[in-house]
Amino acid sequence: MEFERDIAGAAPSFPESFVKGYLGTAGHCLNWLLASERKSGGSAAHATPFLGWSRAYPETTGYIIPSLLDLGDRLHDARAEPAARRFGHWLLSIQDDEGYWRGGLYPYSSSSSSSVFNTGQILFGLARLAARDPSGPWIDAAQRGSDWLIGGLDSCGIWTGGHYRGHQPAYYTHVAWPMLEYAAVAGDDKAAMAAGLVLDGVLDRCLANGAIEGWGFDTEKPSFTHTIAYTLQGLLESAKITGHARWRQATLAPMERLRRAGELSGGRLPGSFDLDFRPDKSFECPTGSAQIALCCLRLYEQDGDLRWLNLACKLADRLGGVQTRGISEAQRGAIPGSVPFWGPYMRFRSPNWAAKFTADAMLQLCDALEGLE
Amino acid sequence: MTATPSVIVTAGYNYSPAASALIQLLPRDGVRVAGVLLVTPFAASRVAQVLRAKGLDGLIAAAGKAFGVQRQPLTRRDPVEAFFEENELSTIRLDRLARQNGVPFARVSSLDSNAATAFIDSVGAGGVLYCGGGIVRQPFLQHTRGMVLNAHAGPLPYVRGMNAAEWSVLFNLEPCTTIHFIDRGIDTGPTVTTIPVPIEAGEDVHRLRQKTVVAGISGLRAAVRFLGTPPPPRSSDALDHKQVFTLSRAMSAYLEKKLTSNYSLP
Repeated sequence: MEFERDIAGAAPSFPESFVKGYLGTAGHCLNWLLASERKSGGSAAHATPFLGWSRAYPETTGYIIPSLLDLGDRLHDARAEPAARRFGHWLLSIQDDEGYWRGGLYPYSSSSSSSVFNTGQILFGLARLAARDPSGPWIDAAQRGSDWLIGGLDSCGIWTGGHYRGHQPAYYTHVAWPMLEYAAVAGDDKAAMAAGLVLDGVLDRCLANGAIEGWGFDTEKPSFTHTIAYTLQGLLESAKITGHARWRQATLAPMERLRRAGELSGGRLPGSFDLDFRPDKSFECPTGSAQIALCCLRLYEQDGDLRWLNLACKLADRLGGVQTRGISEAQRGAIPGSVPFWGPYMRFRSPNWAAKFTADAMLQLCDALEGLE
Repeated sequence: MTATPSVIVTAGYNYSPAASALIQLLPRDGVRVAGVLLVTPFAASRVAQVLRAKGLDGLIAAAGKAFGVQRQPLTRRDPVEAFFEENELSTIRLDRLARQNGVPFARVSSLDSNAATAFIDSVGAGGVLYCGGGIVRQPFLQHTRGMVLNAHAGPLPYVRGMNAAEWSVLFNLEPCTTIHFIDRGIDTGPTVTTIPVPIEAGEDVHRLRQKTVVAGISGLRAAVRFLGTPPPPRSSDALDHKQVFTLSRAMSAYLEKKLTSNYSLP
């Protein structure tokens, strides 16, 4: 990221230079996300050099909707809200009669089936659209999605099916959170109670060192910071919505470990960690870094500890530095899955959720920096 | 401690003002400087460490420091420079200073290296005054019997870690230098004394840091008497306070703004 310097080489002004720089990164993300829209509807899951855009991804199209609305408001970009609404209408058009959305890219493959996680992520978008437009079609669709999720839960907060890899990962906190978002908009107590069951179930998986069992795609391998952050963000945001401190409390030990790792690496947070917090420093996962920045910003908002803000700034600086400046619209403003590009997370691809979380982090960071004045 | 106290002084670069001042001042107090340990700033591991923690800007700044280049023009008289003038201290490089004063000198890659511990054993000092050289680990602490004093640029145990002077201001704590024994934790060792470093109107970060260096020199000079006596107990809440790290660019800019906006403690 580049910050303006005056002709005498003076330090950048605070917070103006920084806000301008971070909003610049967010603006590039917005342009890229708008360019990712497919003719048949939805946002392409990722872009790859030479191959261009992939098919649309319902899951991430869902949670890109709130980002588009926020970006449009903050950057005064009139293209964002109509795009968010188009995404919303497209998601309604592919919702199953039972209320769920299927996993994978659209058009769906023959093996695609109902997905807990994807349905949850789409609730983010519908809940936000419903809050903005209460008379629109959003709340009914969100209710059907939420009811389907509630119907699949057992009494311990475990979904009996609809998993990505056959088990219930801890990052389903990131399903509970949008259920709470929906519940707040719709006043749906059943959804709030179900989400609480899921979140309390995850607390049972906390290890003594703060790690949470099952917070990765694969229980046998180190977890990408992306899914670690999903887990932590789900707990933190749910705690914020409900006021239940126990969910926030569970994030403090792992966040402290991640803060240390992020600081010692100067914002180049290692891309994955095992359950003993042993890092894999061979690559960075910018998506996870952006999400961890968001967690830092939430903690900072709650306790005012500038140490969280400091790491968020370093992670944001790094994200600005890895944003692609290519000439094609599929590359310009993209955030790579891994740094280096051949790293193990989304190898050679720039996912739309990396741009989404980066934009979210930049906007929230700007709010925090402006609040320091 | 023997009748004539003796110490080893460490340094992280050849122009370290704190090390230089102590090498010259301690003999005036009747303290023998038994050796100088300079950790070369150009070891690959140190370069990688600085690059990782502070980025390219940090590496350039560190390189400038290692070569004795003052990067930031000072608007007022530099407190370290003033201290050197007031005490009639020479500003020559540490290796030359040691040679001039007949003090054994060793250049090592790390304070925990075999070369460093062999040097410590050979000179037989009563303790060490730490003026830089990277994080010390168990071998160094064993060979010095834990008799290592450090000047930390912030209040302990509240501000542990790097850029402590800066973090003190950000936390609205009174800036100070804390003299403490080094133990295995990061700035968790027993505290000996605290020297306030009041902020003057219009002061910038660089000047504040320089003032903590001056306070550290005076503090270490006075604390030599604690070497050889049992250290006081470690603060029971030493580990309760989270470590701090280098400031991000935005936080540095915020700090500068805070300082130049007629900063005063709440």
